[in-house]
Amino acid sequence: MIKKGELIGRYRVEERIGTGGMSRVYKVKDMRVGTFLAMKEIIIKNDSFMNAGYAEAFVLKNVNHPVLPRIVDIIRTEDSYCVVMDYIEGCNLEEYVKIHGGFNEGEVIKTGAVILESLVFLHSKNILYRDLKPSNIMITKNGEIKLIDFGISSSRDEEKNENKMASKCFAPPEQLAGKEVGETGDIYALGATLKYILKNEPSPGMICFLNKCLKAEPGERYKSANAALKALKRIKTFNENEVKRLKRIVSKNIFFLIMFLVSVSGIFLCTKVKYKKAEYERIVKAACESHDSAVRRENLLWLIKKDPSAEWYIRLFDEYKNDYVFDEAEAKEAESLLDGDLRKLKEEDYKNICAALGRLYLFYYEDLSEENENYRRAAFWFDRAYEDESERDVYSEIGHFLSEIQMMILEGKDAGMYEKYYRDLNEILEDVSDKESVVRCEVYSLFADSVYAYGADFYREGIGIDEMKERLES
Amino acid sequence: MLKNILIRNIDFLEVIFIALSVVSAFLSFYYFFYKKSAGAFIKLMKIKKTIRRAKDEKKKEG
Repeated sequence: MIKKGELIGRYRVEERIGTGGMSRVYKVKDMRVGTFLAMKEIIIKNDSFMNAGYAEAFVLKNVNHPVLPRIVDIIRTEDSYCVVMDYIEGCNLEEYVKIHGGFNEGEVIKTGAVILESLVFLHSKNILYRDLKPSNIMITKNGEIKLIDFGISSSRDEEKNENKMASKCFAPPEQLAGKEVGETGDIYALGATLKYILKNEPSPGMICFLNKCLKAEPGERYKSANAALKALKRIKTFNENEVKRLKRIVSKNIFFLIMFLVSVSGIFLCTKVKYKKAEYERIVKAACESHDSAVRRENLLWLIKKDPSAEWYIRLFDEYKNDYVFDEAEAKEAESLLDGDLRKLKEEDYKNICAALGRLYLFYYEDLSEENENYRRAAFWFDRAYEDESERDVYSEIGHFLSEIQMMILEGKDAGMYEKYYRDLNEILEDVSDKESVVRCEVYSLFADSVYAYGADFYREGIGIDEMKERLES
Repeated sequence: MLKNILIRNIDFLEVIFIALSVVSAFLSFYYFFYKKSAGAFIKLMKIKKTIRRAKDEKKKEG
């Protein structure tokens, strides 16, 4: 047993700083250099301890990594081996957790990454750590992480039976069961260690990482320390504000993208509407200003189909009058168009069109039947134009008189109709001077025919002969 | 009525839409390239996926 102040080689024992299952650790001073070092005394009680001591010494002798303590010397005493190594000032993670409660997740990720990097290094040298636990991880005053105590670490090529020495809480199940342990055993121990030093509730990413490290089945864990290191580095510690910020960026981008698509659609629609407007104006121009009657008529029919209104109907009726005859085909066309547009047309427009159609029948219809069909049809459309008799205009009154007079004569109910009819004829005679010649001719002819047919009736109802003669001569 | 007003002011409307499209295109590009919205979207998806996985793990443990 080494005592305080005892000189072993060139190292003076200052104090005992730890005791393990098969070793004691002392703080020693190098009397030649004056620096403090750690000396691990491995007591040779049996072969197992001997082997473990050797293992540590030889393993550490062959490795050089910033996280691992440097072997300075190996001294053989009477009943033990002494391994002199760097003295690491600070506390181990177990003590740290007891004092401070643990680390937050960001610090755990950093610590885990440092340990995993050292594991990657060790595994690349075919060395398994086998006893990774918080008490074997030192945190120096500078905050650096160091791995200590390679008591049971071993080369994978060696057959060793030290599994019972593994720490129960952090050792993988297969190690506790005495089965062969691989790289995944160290990964399990790392997962258990990180879970132990974690202060707060782990994030979802950390939960997934730890769960995968701590799988009971070695095959379900990370395949290598390198894979675990990559996975650990991928864990993003995110908070609600970060998520909100990301959502805000994405939603704003989507909003502006939709706005852009709507604007482009708007431009497309505007272009289309403008094209249609230009096309409509071209057709209106052709319908109103073309020198060819057929073209005008064709375009008017198109306009009536697309945009029925009194204007286009009355212009079409003017086209029908061009040859001074409103024939049966034209009559059918006009009536079918008007029937189709009954609901599309405004009431006022419809009445105006009906009145115009009535006048068309009255003056232009080619009556082949010679049964006053024109007057009947004119009266029919005038009725549609003026539902109330008091609203009828003079043309409507004349149309009604002419369509009804024959029937009235037969029924003997014609008395009293002639004076009004004569006054209506006079009114349109005075009004006809600005009408087209064919209308004037029709009206003059109508007046003359009426005087010829109903002259006696006019006279009976108070119209003087001189008045009729004077009007005929004028 | 509204249709007629719109048709009458179609040129003005077109100018408005062009201005809107230019502004929205600029802002879309700004958010896409400068604010890296695609990356943000992928990050969000990953976070959601991780949360879902963690929930599943918890359920399994439960």
